[in-house]
Amino acid sequence: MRLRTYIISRILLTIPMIFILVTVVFIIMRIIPGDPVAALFGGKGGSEEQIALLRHQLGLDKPVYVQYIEYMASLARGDFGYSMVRQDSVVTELATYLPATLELTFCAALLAIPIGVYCGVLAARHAGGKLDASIRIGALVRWCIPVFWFGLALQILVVQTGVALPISGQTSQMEEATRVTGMYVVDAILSRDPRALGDALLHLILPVLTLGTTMAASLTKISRTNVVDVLGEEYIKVASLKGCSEDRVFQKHALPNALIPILTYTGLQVAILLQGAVLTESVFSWPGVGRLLLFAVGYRDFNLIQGCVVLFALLVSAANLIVDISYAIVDPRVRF
Amino acid sequence: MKKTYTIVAAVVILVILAISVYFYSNAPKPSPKVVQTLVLGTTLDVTPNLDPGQNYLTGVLNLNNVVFDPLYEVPPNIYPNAYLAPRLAAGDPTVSADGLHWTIPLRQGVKFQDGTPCNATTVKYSFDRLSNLKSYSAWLLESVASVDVVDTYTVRMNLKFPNAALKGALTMPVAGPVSPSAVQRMGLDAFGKTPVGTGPFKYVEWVPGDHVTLAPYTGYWNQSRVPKVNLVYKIFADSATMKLAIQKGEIDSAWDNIRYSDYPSLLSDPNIKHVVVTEGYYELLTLNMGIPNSPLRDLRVRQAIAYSIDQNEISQKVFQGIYSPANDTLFVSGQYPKPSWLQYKPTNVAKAKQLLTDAGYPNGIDITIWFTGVIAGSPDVEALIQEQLGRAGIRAKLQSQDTGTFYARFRGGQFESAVGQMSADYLDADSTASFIAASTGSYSKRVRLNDTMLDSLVRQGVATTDPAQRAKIYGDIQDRLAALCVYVPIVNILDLWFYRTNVSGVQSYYFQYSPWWTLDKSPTT
Amino acid sequence: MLISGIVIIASVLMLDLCANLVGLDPLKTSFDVQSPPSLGHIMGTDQIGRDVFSRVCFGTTFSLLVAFSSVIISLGTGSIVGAVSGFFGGKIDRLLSLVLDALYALPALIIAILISAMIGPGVINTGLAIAIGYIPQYFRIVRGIMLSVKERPFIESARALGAGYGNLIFKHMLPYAVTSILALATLNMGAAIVDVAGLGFLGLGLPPPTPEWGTDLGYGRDFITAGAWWSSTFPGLMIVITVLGFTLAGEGLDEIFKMSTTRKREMI
Repeated sequence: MRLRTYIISRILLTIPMIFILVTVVFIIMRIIPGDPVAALFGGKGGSEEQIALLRHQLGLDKPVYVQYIEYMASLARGDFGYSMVRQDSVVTELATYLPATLELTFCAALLAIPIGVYCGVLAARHAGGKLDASIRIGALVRWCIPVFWFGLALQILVVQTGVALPISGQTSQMEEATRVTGMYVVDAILSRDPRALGDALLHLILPVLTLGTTMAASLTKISRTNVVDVLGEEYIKVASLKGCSEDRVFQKHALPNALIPILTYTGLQVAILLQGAVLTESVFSWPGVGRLLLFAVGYRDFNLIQGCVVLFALLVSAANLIVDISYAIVDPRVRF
Repeated sequence: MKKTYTIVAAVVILVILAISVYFYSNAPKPSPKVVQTLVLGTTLDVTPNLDPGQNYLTGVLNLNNVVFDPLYEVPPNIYPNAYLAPRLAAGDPTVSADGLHWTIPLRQGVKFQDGTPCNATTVKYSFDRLSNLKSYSAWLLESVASVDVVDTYTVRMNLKFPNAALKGALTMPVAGPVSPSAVQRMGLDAFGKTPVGTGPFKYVEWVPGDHVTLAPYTGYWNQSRVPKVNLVYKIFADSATMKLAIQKGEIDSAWDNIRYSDYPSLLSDPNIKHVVVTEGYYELLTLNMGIPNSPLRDLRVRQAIAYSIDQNEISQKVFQGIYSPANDTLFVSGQYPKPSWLQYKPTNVAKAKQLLTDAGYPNGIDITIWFTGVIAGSPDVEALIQEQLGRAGIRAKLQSQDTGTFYARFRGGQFESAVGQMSADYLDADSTASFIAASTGSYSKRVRLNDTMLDSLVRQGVATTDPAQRAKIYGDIQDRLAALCVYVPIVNILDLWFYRTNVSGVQSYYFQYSPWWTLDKSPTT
Repeated sequence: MLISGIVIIASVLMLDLCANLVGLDPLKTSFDVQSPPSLGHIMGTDQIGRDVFSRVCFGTTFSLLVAFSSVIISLGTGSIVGAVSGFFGGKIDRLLSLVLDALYALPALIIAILISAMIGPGVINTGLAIAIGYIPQYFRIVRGIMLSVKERPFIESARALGAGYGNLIFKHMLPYAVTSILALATLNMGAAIVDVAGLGFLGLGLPPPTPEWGTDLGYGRDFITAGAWWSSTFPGLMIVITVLGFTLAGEGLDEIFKMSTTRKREMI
């Protein structure tokens, strides 16, 4: 089919997916007793009338299916509802905390992709040798280390050795640049504040190391597998029989063919990256949507939870979409 | 290939050089500051807004205590039976013989922070506003039927029933007058962001989730209390980050909610001092008498629990001795204290086992204990309680829930037993007695506490304003509560207020009555 | 690789068994609060004086129990749904694929967090919460195998002989999926263990005071800045070792099965 049709059909397919996800989450959250209003009032404050009034104002006393319809309708308008615990629209909350997550995941990917792919390719190049073995073992062990424990271990290391690296937060209170985008590295550049820039970068080091090496470990394995598979293909044998040097065979024939699936796989890693981000943000008190989700879950803030879920789903779908489309552009065989 | 790499590397290096040059040539010079700003760190968030009529959270209560003038105030030292001095009022209230009319004189010449005058009309307006808002905190003044303007500087409060505890309620910031012109001018939403009162500080800005800025109100009626610094109430997401911030000097003071696990490192830091704040919070185990087929319905079983719990062990193991054992069954600091719980000390496991056998459970019992993460010491306190009860043959199953579920079920009285926190809303013994002792109180209903003796005592307690009589009445209430063994006190939850050595004017205070106008700071070297 | 994996898993289990037999107590508190590793407590004590070594050993039982139940649940559910979907095709297949693709879009841990927060702590609850996120993987594999095997001649002949649907699916077609599922399941054990620990770290896993590696890690983190490194380090090491064991075993199985299927292909 034509590329444009393919793209449009893929985008359209996302919509029912989001719909299903939101429905599933909605059902899950309404099944169990316990609501955010009670959390706000705590054990003592307020009378039963107060609580009933607040529930009514929030529309929580309507039948569940009515709440569902109203929520879906507002979603279609782009209104994610009102977060009762944060006293703000959900969209505002998401917009406030998303930049920090983007900053973290982007920098982690920036670290992970070159290192992961390079190590994997290197290992494949010397497949069967000592270098290959050590890289594989290193990646395997790193893969087995849970991302949150790696972060904690780094924190412990910093505290025990006394190195002057910040172990939590996105910035120090005093060196914060004026917030424009919420990504403080960018904001520091925009406000031309070198101290703020240094501060923001220092705070990025540990979280990015944590999340980045996690991603790099799986990328190493994938890259290696893909390159090894490509090296086993017929046309590689033909190329070397034709008299090309090993290096040339590798660089001109194997690598480009292997890189495409590697890069597409990287796009598919977004889901894992977000998952790792949630845990990394918890460890390092990083003010991103991962922490927001955990906060919302702790208080049963329905709208905020649903908003976060939709956001995650959108991010993953967007990544998948980009991957599929670029694959379709590059490889015409894919569009069926 | 090698050529491409070199070119790419060269370009990257050039770009980095260019950015650095751009930076250092354009870096702004730091501008000199005029009035000092003191940064107060906390983890207590501000939600939903700062409007005193709409809010009940501790953080906001403290902020509003310095932005608004309640009619009366609680002094820093509340022991024992402290006198509540007039603040916006000009003197003590005159109570009519039947206890239904309270005439209160008001201070003259007081102006709101927006320049408009504060008088009986504005006071009446503020109280009426509370009933109209039907808010969260309006129930504090539910004994008040109406407020009359007697003359420009006198109001009369007409009560639905005699309530000796009203003076205590009038120390709450919710009872501090708001500027009517500000409310009308700004509208409810904007007013909630920076409300206007008569107090020593005024709100400058509120960035939700991040900080609140306050500046001194130079026209404050009590010139000796005009603050010397700007105050920034900086909200942290968690205690660990805040602790690091004060250790590094990024904030001047960590005012509230440092975790007790962080106390040792702060206490040994030479740049940091502290005062002990009496918060009036208690941790307790509530036993529900209303669950069918539960062994807790038997008084002897509840007594067995009382004899099994070793408060000292909990205090030492979980809180490193910083939170001391509590013997107060009325859970109000400083008001008619009587350590009625001492009858169950020292811990006596043998006696507990005997009581269980007498009640018909020679092989012990099984109970469930609910708790949630926000309770101080969770889940370690619960783990200790489980261990201690286990020594007496009481097999306790621990069940933790998230805050929302916990409070929903807790309020519904669906728990068998639960670990929780209790505090007085304002400094009067009735503030807890009416909740937990009177059968009409919401707590009592949850645990099916229905005791005619307690009901009668609670009624008597609010009917008279004579301190000696009240002392006797509330002492009897404490004894009766201890005998019924429904609320098992564990520890007093204190708070340590940490501040850096260049900060002065820090004093201990009670609950939400923090006197921040005394704070000052000298420049750091 | 398979051997080394199995050896590691076995040693971990042995350690747990020995700890049980020797009579160590992971729940007993002491006044020796927050003390570093010593002769009496080789891994130190936690914030209320419990022996970290005991908790680390006993934690094995719970982590493996929850991880195993979650793998069984996701394997069972995913395979059956995948088999039905692949076999019947058509509208059922499209609907199921749509729903499960949607589920696949959410990271497994996020789903686990949501469900765990809603249904509360507990072994089965946590197992279920984790399982849901992994169902799509089994679904895809089994469905894929179903689709490829469906058109083979021997299936048609079995049908012609009157075999019922259940018979066809379970006796004739699913066995082709066994090797892939087995390798995936072993690898998933490792991932499930990490997920259990992750939930515990976030405070959502098993109820206190159950000794669980992730939960203990989570509580230990408050004390890192005070210099207490042991309560977070040792549980974490156990996680790494155990997961390594399962991953090696899973990769080993994968290699073995790949070699055997390649041989099969060559034979056909």
